[in-house]
Amino acid sequence: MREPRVERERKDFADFYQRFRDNCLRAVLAGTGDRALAEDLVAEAFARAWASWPKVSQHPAPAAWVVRTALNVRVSWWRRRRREVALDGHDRAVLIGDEFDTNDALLAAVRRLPRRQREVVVLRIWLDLDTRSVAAVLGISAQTVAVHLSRATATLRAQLVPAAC
Amino acid sequence: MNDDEVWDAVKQTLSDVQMDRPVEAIEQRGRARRRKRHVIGVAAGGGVAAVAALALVLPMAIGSGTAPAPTGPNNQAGPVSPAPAGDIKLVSLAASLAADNAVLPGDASLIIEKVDVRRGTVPSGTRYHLHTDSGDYYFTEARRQLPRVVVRGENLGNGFNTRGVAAARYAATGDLAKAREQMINSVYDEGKPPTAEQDRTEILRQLGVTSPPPVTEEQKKFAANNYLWVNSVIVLSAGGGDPKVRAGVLRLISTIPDVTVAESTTGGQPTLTLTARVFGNDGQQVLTINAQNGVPIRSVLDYPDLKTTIVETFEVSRVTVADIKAGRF
Repeated sequence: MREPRVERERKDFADFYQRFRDNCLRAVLAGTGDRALAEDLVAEAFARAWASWPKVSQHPAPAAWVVRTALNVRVSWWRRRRREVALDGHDRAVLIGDEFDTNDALLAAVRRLPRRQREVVVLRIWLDLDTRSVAAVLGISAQTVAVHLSRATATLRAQLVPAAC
Repeated sequence: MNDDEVWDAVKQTLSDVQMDRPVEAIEQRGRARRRKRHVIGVAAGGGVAAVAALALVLPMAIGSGTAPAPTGPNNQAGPVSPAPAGDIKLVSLAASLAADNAVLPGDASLIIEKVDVRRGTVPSGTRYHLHTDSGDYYFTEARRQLPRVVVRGENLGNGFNTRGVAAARYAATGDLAKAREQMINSVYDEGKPPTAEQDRTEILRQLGVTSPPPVTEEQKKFAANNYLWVNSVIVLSAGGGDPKVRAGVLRLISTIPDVTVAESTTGGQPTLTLTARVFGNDGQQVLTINAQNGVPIRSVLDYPDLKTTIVETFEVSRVTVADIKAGRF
C-alpha cells in the first residue's frame, strides 16, 4: 500500500534529524560556546527545517542549512525564548550559565577565529563538507574557502604543536 | 601535524556532546513554529502538563469558531461592550492612521533595535531588522552585515510577517472579530490551526502527557489574548513603517482586556504607554508608542521568574531594499 506523503516526509525528516543532530549541535556549540543557547538554536533550526521540509530536503547540504540557520537566528532566539516554557521535558525556564568546559584551549581558539574562518571550520570539521559544498553554502568561491580554511588550520595547529625554540 | 590531524583533534573536543531532544518535540515545534512564543508561564501547580495542554488550546478555540466578540465602536457582529478609556485612546489613534492616504515611501521597513538586558544572561546590543513589503525578513547584529545578508538572499521570513501584516491591514477598517482571528492564526502555515483534538491528544502523549487536563474557557481566552498581543506587537515592528498596519494593530490591541493604556511623555513628546499582562507568572510588557502616529518607541519586558528585564528602543523608518543593498542607510 502506498505510504501517504506526510508519513514519508516524517520518516525522512526523523532519519535526517537522528543522523545529523549531534554534529549540528557540536558545530553550533563550537561557534557560540554556550551549551544551553546552542541546543535551543539547533532545536529551532531543525524545527524550521521541518516546517519547510519539502524545500530544505532539496538543499545541497541540509545539515549546513540547519547550522547556518541556527547561527543566523542566534540573537533573536531570546525574543522567542522569553515567552516559552519548555514542552519537551527539559526545564529551560531559567537561563543557566554555560556548563560546558570552555577552558579547552582548542575550542576557545575556534571561537576566537574571525567569523568567516570560524564558519568555514565549523562546516568542514563537524559537517564533513568538502570545499565546494562549503563554498555553495556560504555563497563564496571555493578558492576563498580554501584560503579561510588554510589560515584557520594554521591558527588551530599552533594550539596543538608547540613552537620550535 | 597535517590538516586532517588538526581537524580530528578539534573535532574530538566536542565528541561527547549530544542533542538529546526527541524528534517529536522538534516536529511539534516545527508544525507551529511560533506557537511556543505564546505559551504562558506555568500555572500554579499545573506543571508541564498544564503548559503543554495550554500550548495546544488555541487551535481548538479558533477552529471551533469561538473567537470572542469584538469590543469598540467599529465591530460588525456580536454585542458591543463599553470600551475602557484606554481602548478609546487606541481606537481614536487607529482611526486617524487608517484615514491617512499618503503614499508610502520605499518598499521596506527598517527597524534599528537597541537592546539592554538587565539581570539576564542574554547579551545586549543593537539589532537590525529589515522587513520588506513582500514579506522577506533579514536580521543582523552588525550594521555592515545587513547589505550582505540581503544581497545573499538570507531571508529568514516564513510567511508569518506577510500574514500578520495582512491581518493588521484588514483590521484597520474591517470586521474586528474576523481580524482578531486572522492575527491570532497568523503564526500557523496558511493561517490555519493545524491540529484537531485527536492530534492534540497524540502530541501530548508523545510529550509524556498521558492524561491531558481539560482546557477551560478562561484558559482559551487567556491564550487567545496572549497570541493576539504577541503577534500584534511583532507586526507593529514588521510593518511599523505603514500607518495602516499600525492602525490595525492598535484596533486589535484595544480589544485585549489585560492591556491598560495611559498617556505619557517620552523625550518631550506625547506618548501612550501600553501595559500588557498576558504572559502569566507576573510577567508583563510595557510598550511605549508615539501618541500621534503609533510608531513603537520603547518596550520593557519584565520576567520576575527569570530574573530578567529586557529594554528595547526602536528606530523605525521606511527604506528601499536597493538602498540597503548599496549600504545607503
